[in-house]
Amino acid sequence: MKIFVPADSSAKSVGSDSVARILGAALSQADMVRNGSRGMYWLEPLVEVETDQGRVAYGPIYPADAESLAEALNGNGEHPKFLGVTSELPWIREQNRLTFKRVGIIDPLDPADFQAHGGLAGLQQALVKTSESIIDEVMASGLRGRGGAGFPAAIKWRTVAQAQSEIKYICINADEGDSGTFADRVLMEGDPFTLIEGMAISAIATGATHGYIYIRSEYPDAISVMNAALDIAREHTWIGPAILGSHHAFEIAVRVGAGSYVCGEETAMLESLEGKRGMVRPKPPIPALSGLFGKPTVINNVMTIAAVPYILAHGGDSYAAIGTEKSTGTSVYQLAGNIAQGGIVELGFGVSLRHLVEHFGAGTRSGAPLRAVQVGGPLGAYLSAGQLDVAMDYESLTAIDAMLGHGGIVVFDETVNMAQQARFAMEFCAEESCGKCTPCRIGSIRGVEVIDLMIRGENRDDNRELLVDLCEVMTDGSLCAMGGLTPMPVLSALNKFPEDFGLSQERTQP
Amino acid sequence: MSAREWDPIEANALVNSCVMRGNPLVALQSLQSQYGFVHPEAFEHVAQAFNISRAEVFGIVTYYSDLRTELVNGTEVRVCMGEACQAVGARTLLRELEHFESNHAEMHMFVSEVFCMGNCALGPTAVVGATLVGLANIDAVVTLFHEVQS
Ligand SMILES: Cc1cc2nc3c(=O)[nH]c(=O)nc-3n(C[C@H](O)[C@H](O)[C@H](O)COP(=O)(O)O)c2cc1C
Ligand code: SF4
Ligand code: FES
Repeated sequence: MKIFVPADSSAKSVGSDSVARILGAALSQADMVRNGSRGMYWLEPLVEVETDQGRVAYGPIYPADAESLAEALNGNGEHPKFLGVTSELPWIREQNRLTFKRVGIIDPLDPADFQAHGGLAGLQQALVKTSESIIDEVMASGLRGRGGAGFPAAIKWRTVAQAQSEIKYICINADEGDSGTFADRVLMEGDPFTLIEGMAISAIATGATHGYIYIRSEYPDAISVMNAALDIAREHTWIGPAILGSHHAFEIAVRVGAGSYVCGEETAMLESLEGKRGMVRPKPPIPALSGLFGKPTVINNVMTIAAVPYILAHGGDSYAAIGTEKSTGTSVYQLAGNIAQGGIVELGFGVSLRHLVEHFGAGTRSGAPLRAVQVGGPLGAYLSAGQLDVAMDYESLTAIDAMLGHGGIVVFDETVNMAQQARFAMEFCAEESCGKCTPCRIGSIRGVEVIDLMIRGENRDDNRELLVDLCEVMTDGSLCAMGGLTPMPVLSALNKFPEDFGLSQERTQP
Repeated sequence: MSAREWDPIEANALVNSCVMRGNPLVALQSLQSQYGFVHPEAFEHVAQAFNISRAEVFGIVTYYSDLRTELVNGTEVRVCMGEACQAVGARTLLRELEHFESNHAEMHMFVSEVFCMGNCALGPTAVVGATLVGLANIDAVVTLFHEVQS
């Protein structure tokens, strides 16, 4: 018997390690795999068993359910938490998993399992292509950066490829600081070789010889899985002095963050990688020409690079056929907050927010009516219940003064107080500002004060004007998006939920 | 937590071992994870080892919230205050834990805030010592706190 008990850190947060221990002791003849998560977090710990019909799932199996499950598995397999064949569950079946194809399915650190499920096909393609034709393939895919800005990956790569330098770097942004996002973590814990494969392809395309993965310290499991995966990849020559016996040399190291949100901003990340304070650098020069230690540097998010192996293996055109015209391919949406069925949904760009929240997410966890949804992390806009029909792609969200960011979707029910959320956005900016520019460093503190005055009911209309004015200064006068986008959650809360700021008499139901 | 007692000679050796493969931040992070804090007496040595000023070392230490100049006395309980956890009651959990912390000073619970542990689908989220707790509530956190303490 083969059973799967996730070692994903979120699954562990609800007891999967204890479940694994209990099942391991009770089913000593069974072969246990500690897989990543399938991304159905409300069902974690999700235990799977290999059967004649395929893998079947039981969940959520909390430690208290583990004994009874072990008994069931020793018998006919019947258990009240039986869910059916995992791949047939609508939540999984209705997704289009390309980047997350193997996550939750394979043993994260088993190279044979990785290859048996299509791993390395992209790298093998890259090795028989020229640098130019790899970049053409990525260009044809239309792949855009998944870290927030949505910049075309191929253009960055081309700039680095054409730059003349002995040393070039690839820096992977795994800082994933946005609250409500966890896709990078789940991929690194569940299928780390995919990130390594993508980096190796990028190295071959750009001529980079050194790579760094900058992982936030809040992700200790991702750090240890990535480090273990790098050792294995080195043993198998997937990286190292001669990638798969070719003339390409590429080495990768993990670097750990130290608890700073701004270090997710690419130039602050470079400073941090150089061992300095995470102060944002002015651009130009762009990192593609003068990045880490002044050398040409590719900076991409984990999700961007993890999409690359598929693109090389299946062709850029087939990737571009998914999604919308300008937002091509799949996006890895993350359902979080007050949501009944939270987790990872990978689908072509352009799906409606309503479909994600109501169909996949099954509405609020509390059962109370939904009131607001924050899309795109702490710098993203709050949308009202009336805006759920927006299509989830870069252009459609921009059109309603919102942004996709890293794909995080945080649901709030009717108990939320939007003035408090706006205050929090300013407070967060004040806390995390790198301090380089005044509008961000001081403006955010003033912002908290003004919102406090409004909450207390002092000169609300005047203070509203002041707040709008302050937001304008922050938007126009900040060096980076920390100060520049903090007004987005603030103004969206103010404009769509004025009643919470005491600006109209009654708080109306959405 | 199981940090070792500060030892200046050993600390300097640890800093030296970071010179080849690292940078001042890596050295400071190594000290932090080894001892649970960075003793200010190490600043001078880090500055010399990496050929930067003591002020720069001070700047790095104060910039990063992971780096501390004093040892936490007791077991740290971090509560996630990211928006996704706020949406499911993180503010209440934080208040309750702060209450517990001040009412049971003898137990040495040290409550702090953190912004997102990547557990946003299973909030509220807390971290007791090094253990991540999803669907957290005061009882679960306190129970685990006692386990970690003993
Ligand atoms: C305050 C701030 C925080 C950011 N945090 C992250 C992050 O955690 N992860 C990330 O990939 N990009 C983050 N970004 C975006 C990066 O600056 C950069 O655009 C991205 O890493 C580029 O990779 P991509 O083109 O693959 O998206 C952040 C930007 C800002 C302004
Ligand atoms: S906007 Fe804020 S975080 Fe960005 S550079 Fe200016 S002070 Fe630093
Ligand atoms: S917001 Fe709390 S874990 Fe992400």
